[in-house]
Order: sequence, then C-alpha cells, then structure tokens
Amino acid sequence: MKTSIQEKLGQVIIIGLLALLCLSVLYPFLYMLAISLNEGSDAAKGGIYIWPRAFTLLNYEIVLGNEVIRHAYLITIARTVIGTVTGLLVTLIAAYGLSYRLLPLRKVFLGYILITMLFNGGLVPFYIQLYNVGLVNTFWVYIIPGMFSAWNMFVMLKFIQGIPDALIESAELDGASPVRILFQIIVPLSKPMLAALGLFTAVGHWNDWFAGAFFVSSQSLIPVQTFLQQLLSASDLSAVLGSNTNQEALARGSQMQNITLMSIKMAVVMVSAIPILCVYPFLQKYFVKGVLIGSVKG
Amino acid sequence: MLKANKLSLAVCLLALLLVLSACSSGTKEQVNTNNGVEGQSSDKPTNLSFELWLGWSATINNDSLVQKYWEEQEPGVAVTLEATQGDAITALNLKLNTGGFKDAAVFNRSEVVKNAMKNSNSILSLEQYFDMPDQYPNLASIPKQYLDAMRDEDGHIWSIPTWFDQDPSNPWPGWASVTWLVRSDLVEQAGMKLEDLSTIEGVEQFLRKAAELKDASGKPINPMGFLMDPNDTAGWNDENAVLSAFGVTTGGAGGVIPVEKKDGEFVLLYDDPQYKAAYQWLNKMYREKLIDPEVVTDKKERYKEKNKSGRTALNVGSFWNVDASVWETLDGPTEPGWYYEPIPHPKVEGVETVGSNQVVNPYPGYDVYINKNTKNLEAILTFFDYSLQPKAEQQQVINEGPAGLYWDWIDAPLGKWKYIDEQYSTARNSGDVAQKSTVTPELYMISSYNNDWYPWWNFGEADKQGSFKTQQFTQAIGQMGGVRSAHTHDMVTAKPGGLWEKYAPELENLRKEYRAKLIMAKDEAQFEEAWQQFRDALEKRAHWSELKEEWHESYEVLVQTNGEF
Repeated sequence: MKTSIQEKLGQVIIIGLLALLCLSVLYPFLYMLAISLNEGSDAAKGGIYIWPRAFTLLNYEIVLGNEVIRHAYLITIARTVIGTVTGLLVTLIAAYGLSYRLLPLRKVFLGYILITMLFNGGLVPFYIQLYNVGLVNTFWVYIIPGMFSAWNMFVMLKFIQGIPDALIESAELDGASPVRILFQIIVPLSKPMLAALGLFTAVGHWNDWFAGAFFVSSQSLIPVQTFLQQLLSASDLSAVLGSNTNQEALARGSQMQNITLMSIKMAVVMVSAIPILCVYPFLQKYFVKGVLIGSVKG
Repeated sequence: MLKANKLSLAVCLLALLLVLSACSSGTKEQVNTNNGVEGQSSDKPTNLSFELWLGWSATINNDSLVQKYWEEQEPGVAVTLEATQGDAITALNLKLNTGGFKDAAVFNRSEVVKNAMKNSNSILSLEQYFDMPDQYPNLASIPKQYLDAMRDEDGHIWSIPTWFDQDPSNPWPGWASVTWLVRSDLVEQAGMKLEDLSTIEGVEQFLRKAAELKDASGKPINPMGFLMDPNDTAGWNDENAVLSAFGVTTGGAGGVIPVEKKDGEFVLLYDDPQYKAAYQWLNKMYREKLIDPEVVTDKKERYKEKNKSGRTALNVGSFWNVDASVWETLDGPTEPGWYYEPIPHPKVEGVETVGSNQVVNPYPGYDVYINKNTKNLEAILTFFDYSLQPKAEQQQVINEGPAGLYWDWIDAPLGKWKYIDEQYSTARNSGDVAQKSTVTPELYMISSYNNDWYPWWNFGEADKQGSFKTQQFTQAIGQMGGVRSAHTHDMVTAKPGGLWEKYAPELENLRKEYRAKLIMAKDEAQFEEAWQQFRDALEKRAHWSELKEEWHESYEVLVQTNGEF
C-alpha cells in the first residue's frame, strides 16, 4: 500500500517523538549505571554522562559485601517468587469459581469484592488487622495480605468468561472435575494473561518498600527496597558502613576515600532494579498479548 | 510425563520452603538476629528481663556481647531490643493503636512523641521512682532541674530522661565544629602568618593573595569556600561561621529560632542588624571573586572533592562538611588536607562578642517510656539505674562494656583508651553494621555524660596520625567563643497549633531563597534591593511580626514553667 508524503512525515514525527520519550526514560538509568561504575570521588567532579571515567567495581563490592543487603535480597527474591505464585494461584481459583454463571450468590460475592477494591480502611486499621492475626514482624506479612487481588481477579474472570463454554462443557461431559478443567484447560489457554498479571504482581512485590518499613521491625526481614529507602534518606555513609564516628569509618582503610554516598546509592539502585528488568524479555511475548486483555469484548 | 511434572513441582515447592526457613531464621553463622518480639534471647534462665523498643532504625542482634554482659554480669538484666525500619512517628502511631510496646520504649526527646504517649493512656507515671535513693540511687541522682522541667501540670513525670549532662553547671561543649578552617601551607605561600588572620581585614588580605596562587595541578586556588547544602537549617549551615564572627547568634537548644539577648532585649535572628552586615561582607567577597564562584550550586560531594584535591584556601563552616577524612586518612603532610588549621573567628570592628553557633543544652536528649501494664518494671528500673550511674565513663561502659573487658585505659582512668579484645575490635570497626551489631547495640544514649571525659576525644589508637586532628580541632574550636550554655530563650518551642507551626517552613524557605540572592548580588544597590525584598517577604509570607509576638508569649509561658536561666 502506497503511503502519501503526509503519512510518511507523520510516521517520522511519531517515531522521533517516541524515540525522544524512550531516551528520556533510558538516559537516567544509563547515568546511574555510569556513576555506580565510577570511582565516587571522581564522579563528584562531574562530567560523567554515559560512560564511567574512572571505572571501578568497588561500589558493587561494598554493596554486595554488605550482609544486610545480601539478606534483604534473599527476602526480596523469596517474597517475589512465593508472593507471585501464591497470588496468581489464589486469585485464579477465585476467578474460576466466580466464572460459573450458575454459582449461587455470585453477584453478591462480586459486589462484595468490588467494594473492597474501591474502599479500604487505611493504614492504622490494616495494621491492627495484621497485628491481630499475628502477621506483624513475620515473613508472611509480605505474602498473605497480597494473596488475593480484586483487580487481578476481575481481569482473570473476564478472560475465563471469554473461553468458549463449549470447551468446558465438553470436558465436563468427558468426566473432568473442575480442578482438572482449571489446570488442564483454563491455565494453558490463559498463559498470556497469567504472564502479564504475574509480571505486574512480581514487580509490585519487588518494588514494595512500605511493608518492610512499617510491618516488620527486625532488620533480618526487610526487603532490599526498604534498605534502599533507608539509604536514600541517609545523610552519610554510616547507614552502609555502620560507623558512628569518623575514626571508626577510617578503620576500613584508604580505599574508603574514593567512595561516596552517591556512588553507593547508585550501586544499590542498580542492584535492586536490574534483576527485575532482566525478567521482562522472557515474558515479552506474553506481555504484548496480555496487555490487550479485556480491551476487546466477545 | 505427568509424574515427572508433579515431581519437579514438588521439588520446587520444597526448595522454596527451605529458602523461606532460611530467610526467617537468618544465616546463623554470620547474622544471628532475633526479632525479639516474644521471649528472651538467651538460653540461660534469667530472673530480670524486658523488651526495649528503639524509636529509630538499627541493626539488632540480641546475642551481642555487650547485651550478654548485661544479662550475665552487670546489672543482671536481659534486654531484648526491637527497632523500627521506617519513620519512627508512624511506627509509634501504629504500635500505640495495637496495644503499644510491651515493656519500654526509648525515643529522641520530642513533644510529638511525648503527647502521643500521654494521650494513648498506656504509659506509667514515674515521679516516685526518682525519689527512692535506697533502691534506685542513680535515678535519684538525676539533677532535679531536669526532672522539674519534665513535670506536667499534675506533677507527673512520664519518662526516664537519658543522655543528659551529669553536671549542668559545667556542661560538656560537645562536638564544636563551626570554624574558619585555613590551609596553613597556603598562608605560608602567601607570605603571611596565622596570627595575621586574627582580624577580618587580615582575612581579606589573605584571600586576595590566595587568589593568585595555584594548586598542585596548576588550577587557580579558590580563596574561600563553604557548603550551601539545600538540606541545612538556620541553626546548622556553613554561613553561621561568618555570622558568628559578626556577632550573630545562630545556635539554639531546641528553640524555634536562634535568639540572643542584646542590651536587655531579645533579638531574633533575622532582626539582628549584623545578619545583614555578615551577608554584605560575603557579597563583597563574592563580587571580588574571593569566594568559589560555584558556592551556590555545589553539592556536598563536589565541595568535599574540591577540598580533598586542595582547591580551597579557607573553608568557613563545619569541618564535618569539609570532610574530616581529608586529614584523618593521612599519616603526615603528604596531601593538602594535612595543613588544615582552625583559627579563631576573625575580629570584626564593632563586634564585642562572637555570636554563638553552638548552644550547649545539658538537658536530656532522650526519654524512656514505660508501659503501665508491663510485668517487668523491676527489670526496667534496675537496668536504667545501672545505665544512669553518674560516672564520666558510663556512656563508654554502656556502649562497649566495662573497662578491662573489651577495652581498657592506656595509662590511667579517664585518660586515653584502646580496644584490648582483637575479635571485638575487628567486628566493632569492620564497617559492616551486621558485624558491629554482633558485639554492641551502641546504646550510649541511654546513659549520660559529663565534661570530665568523652570517649571519642580520648581514643588512643589510630592507624594514622591525622585521625587525632579531629579531636584536637573540636576541643580547640570549643574554646573559641562560639559555644555557650543554653538559656531559657534558646528553648522556646512552637505552640501546638500556633503560628510558628504554620509558618516556620516558609521562614526557612525564605532564608534559603534569599541567601543566594544576597551573596550573588552584582553591586551594593542590588544587594540592598534583595535585602529589602527579603524583609518584605519575611513580613508578607512568613508573618514575621506575628511570629515574634507569639515567640514572646511562649517565652513568658516557659519562664513561668521552668524559671529563667
């Protein structure tokens, strides 16, 4: 199909704008990467834009050598994996059950769930609830409250309802139980949807710092984002180096002259962001299909 | 195939379960942390124990060596610590809504925290325990002026005060750091002596000569530099060194604004005519290119980097901002940082007294609140009676254990000290918070201090000679006239719901907005214009006159409660 000059010009403009948008998103990341790979004291002189000038891995050595960060990483990975798997499973089971049109009180359940999605009691009542069920200061405070997502449930429900009823009915006629239908028919057909929702859930778990800041008190239970939040609000290196006097900080040797709080912060940002970014390419084919969920009726 | 899938699923779930167990219990060989919410941390049975909630973020290891000493030796109390990981006030709010903390909680002294605790009706009033010298002699020895200032209208005292000066009549001056820090090597190159910088004219002469000098890499020297940190405050910023020389008081003791009594009248910071004079001088230096042209925009790390590379001849302000590691990492005159020397505030004509940039507040800095339903009151009182022994070295004993255990005197008590336990010292100074927490929870603030001895001014061991300089600097700066004891007018706080609560943030915005304009004014006319705009904005945006009126009212109330001192 021949395109007119105006259309070609329009495409060029659109591509240009999108490329600019892409750069504006990508550049801060590249800048932080360059700073994190540069000697701290050299970076403070300025003039570093894309490439590190005085390359060093010292910032990463300090970050990854910090016991608190390593442990926080373990917590983050565990909650992301467990939270995503359990969250998808519980929400899928609820969505599948509610997809049965003949389920008694179906509309009541859906209305009740919708209300919980639209309104919530706030932080203090939520904390009281967590405290009363004994979740405060335990690992499960990251998993159990997030196991069911009303929004995800509605998306899944819509998707399941889009699967032809004939498929499910024929499986029932062949003697398949609802559980078997769910795992052998619904789930394989729902891969794009599960991948997309799984990704959103995983990213939500990975990025969450709030639960670690207020629902746990033990530092052995904080995720890496809560540590990053503490570090970003620190005014000096004592949050990382654990020193309350300069004499103590100096016990770490002369290499410490070249590190700065900024370089450590950038290294921690990289360490906390890169892993989840690496997951995106593997889920991309599902992600593209998944974002269109619910956009086309029928 | 189906069996293989089920088997691999089972294996994955088992692996996740194992990881989960590892996460909850921690890696025992390196970080053996205990969340400390329930029960005691030690295997040995103890008679006295309690839980102490810290109102700040901290890495806790309830099996630390110092806590073991508290439990097994002196005072024979097992203390289980718990910290917050986010904002302490929010965490307090959440805790108070779920029954509060179990036994005791320690917070920075704060009206907000005190009111929240009182309003929760969950804390115990403690005034009787400060009057039991037979049972709790050290609680009874807390200076009465501190306790009287804590009584509410019914005479109740709702917390145990800690981190106070044991002798308020001879207070410890603290880490005085605001000074004029000059490079003695550049003074020599300029053909001058340090004594020549005793007047402001002498300083100007030095700056003009320094402007002609070059550093080791051939770049021109910045004659004068300081840090204009966007996060600084009226009471804590580098320009205060200049303001001090001009006789302006910039220090406070928890008050809403620095105030000085001059000729029998209270002069609030922005009404002091010398405030304008100080900025006029800074503007003059800036126009003559005797101040680093990037002073207004440099961030903290850029400022430190310039100092480290020897680009600046004279730094005014806090030496912490210069970055003490610039000299502390040196063993001799191998780098420019070695040559830094603090000099007394230069004499300005017409100024009789140097303005105070640091007000020593001997009053308690922390408060320990006790849950009225605690079953461990005896343990709590016994422990704090131990921690509040009125000895100069008690803060060191609480922080590192008693002398002779992990540290000891080098020559004599209340002299230099050093670590004597290699394992303790390695973990303590490893620079890793998790390692440090295995030996000490660093709770010096639950003790008290006095002027006879301060541990970090008497640390007798260091790899580098330069590390002793910080101690020397701070002790010298403390004698240069910029440090004084607190008076009532330094402690006037904001009335709840009053104008200071409402307009103090805007007042601070104005200071930051106009200081750059005043310094960078192109000529005297522009300076006057900026000054007039500043005064107009003080009135229009910050309601300055009304703020002053409220300050005076609050001062009168404070005098009636605490007396005038």
